[in-house]
Amino acid sequence: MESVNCPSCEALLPLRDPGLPYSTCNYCQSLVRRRDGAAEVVGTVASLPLDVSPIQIGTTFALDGNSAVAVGRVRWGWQDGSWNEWFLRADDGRHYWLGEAMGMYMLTSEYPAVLAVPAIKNFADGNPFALGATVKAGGKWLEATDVKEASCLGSEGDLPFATLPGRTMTNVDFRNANGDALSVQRDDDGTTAWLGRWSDLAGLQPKNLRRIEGWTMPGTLA
Amino acid sequence: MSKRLIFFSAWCAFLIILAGIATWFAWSPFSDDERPVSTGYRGPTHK
Amino acid sequence: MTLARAVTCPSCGGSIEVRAAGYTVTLACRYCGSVLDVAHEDVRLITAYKRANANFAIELGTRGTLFDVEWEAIGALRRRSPGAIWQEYLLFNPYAGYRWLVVADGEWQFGTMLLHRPDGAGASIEWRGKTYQLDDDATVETTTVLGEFYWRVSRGDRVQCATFARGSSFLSREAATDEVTWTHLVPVDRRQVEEAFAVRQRYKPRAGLKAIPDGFFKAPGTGENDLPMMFLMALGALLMIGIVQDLMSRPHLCANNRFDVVVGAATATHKIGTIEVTRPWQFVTIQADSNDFSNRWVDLDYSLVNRRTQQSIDAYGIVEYYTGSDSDGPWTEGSHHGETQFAGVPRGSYDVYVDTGSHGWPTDPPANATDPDHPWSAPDSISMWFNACTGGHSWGMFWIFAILLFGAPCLILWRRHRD
Repeated sequence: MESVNCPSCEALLPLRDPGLPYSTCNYCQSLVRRRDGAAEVVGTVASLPLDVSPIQIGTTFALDGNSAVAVGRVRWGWQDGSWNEWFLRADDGRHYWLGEAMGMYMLTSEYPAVLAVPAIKNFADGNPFALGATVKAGGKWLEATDVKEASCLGSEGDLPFATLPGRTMTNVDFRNANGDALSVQRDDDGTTAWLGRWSDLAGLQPKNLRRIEGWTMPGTLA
Repeated sequence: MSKRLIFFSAWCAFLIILAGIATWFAWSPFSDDERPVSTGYRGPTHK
Repeated sequence: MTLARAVTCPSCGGSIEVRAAGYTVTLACRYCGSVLDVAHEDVRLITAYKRANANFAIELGTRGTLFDVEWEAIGALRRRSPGAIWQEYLLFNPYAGYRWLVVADGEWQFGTMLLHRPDGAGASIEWRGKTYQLDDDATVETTTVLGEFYWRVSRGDRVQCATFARGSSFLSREAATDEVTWTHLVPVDRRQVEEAFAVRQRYKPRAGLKAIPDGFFKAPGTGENDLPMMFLMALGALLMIGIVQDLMSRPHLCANNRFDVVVGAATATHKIGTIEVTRPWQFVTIQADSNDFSNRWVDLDYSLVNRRTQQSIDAYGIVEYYTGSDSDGPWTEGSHHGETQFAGVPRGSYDVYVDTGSHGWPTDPPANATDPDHPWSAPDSISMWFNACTGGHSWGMFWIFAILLFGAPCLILWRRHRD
């Protein structure tokens, strides 16, 4: 499979992850679906609001002895704000979500086993989830601290789902005192669960960070 | 107790002592004096 | 392209930069102080205010390097607990996230939010293998907000804040309605912060003038909220002064008498009586009361004549009362009472004399006027009662002391209110 051109504006769509069906054109904001070597425009993605995230498409991270690169980003908005979720592809083909909030980072990988937990199964069936409920995932107890109704504000790069305006999801965040994190997301396509940990940026050993005008990149991160 | 509270309590004590001294000498800037001119016409200051 | 989002304040129209674009949720306008919701593309006004408080030790937008990282001060809070008032600054660096600078009583602390929370509850907790002891637990109120924040913030926010100490390092646990956050606070050298963030001169401890405690009138950044205590002390001191004035002006030895003063007649001299000043120095207070009259004044020239030396101390008093009517309706002026106070009367025995003279307004009544309808009426005269006593309270002095006592706390209160 090779890089394709945007059917709308003919710009080159770099192929960052052959396994991902959706790509946002950097020039015309078209959402392109790739299938069987062909590319079709399925809609137009909202342009991302300005932010000062230090991460960009192509930023690499060292995760558990593995290297991962940011291939896409979704921006979610909710009643009291918005946040970025970066989609990372590791060298071994695994995927991670890297959520940005309060200047902190939540790195998670898919953990479907927790979907069998009755409380989460109930949530997946479309029922609300109670704050404060605890679940066990990966041998750790985590507490639901946050439930948000979010809608898609825009995207860039390659992603596993279509990020057209109007896409909504319900997100439940779990955490514990040790910095572990679990995120359960429900949308029209179903429910997925992602388990991981909270970290600061330096803890992810990033390379190729975005250069932000007016700020000097700390030597340890450059 | 903050530094300025200590400072303020010293100020209060100073004023109490000052009041004691002034009362001992029956001193006051508000005492009434002799009338400067023995005759004078008075009337309401109203309007 | 500069990476700051420009927004326009819907309240005052001022143009403001959002520095932590993408993170900032609430912004308090630097010009008018209005609290804005900038979480979404369209800026919404949450609470309008008339005036921004620029009265912070660090100007927002200032950058400084602490712990080898450059930080920009983007938000400032003034907060208070029942016993203290202090300032908090939100620092931001896009690569390093958020930190806090807290200043109380001229001491600075650098705070980092914890991802790994301490274990245990109650009076002692464990964090990274070390024990921290409960130091304080109080409700903390946010009184002033300026700049930008990554959460919803407003004046009057209250959180329960418990502080745990281990030496000079603190762990602070803040519990809002649905969220608990932990912050690790370490002391930073005052000079380091002052240099890094160009701390305003009035928040720096003064070099000279050691007699005046550092920043006597500097309400913000003071560790303790001592204002209620100051008012209490001032009230107590004023009460003491009142008691001292009353006790030290005693005893009250009096003489009294009553005379009729003929209106329009020549000045007459009367002796009220003899009083004894038994202290080295004493006030002498003379009260004059009259019967009912209108549109007359009575000049009262008092003399205290020392019986031994025949030296005289003079003072002047007046009793006057006028009535009339104008476009606003009837009016009255004056009273039927007068008080005259002698200060610093030395010990001795005194005869008290009063020269009385009364006149009418606008003119004296005709002398010996006889009303044909009331031929029996006496000449127009006023009855005066005099009571001369040693001692007496000097209210003028009392109010001067009240102003001196309450001046300082009132000034502090005013400055704090102005913030």
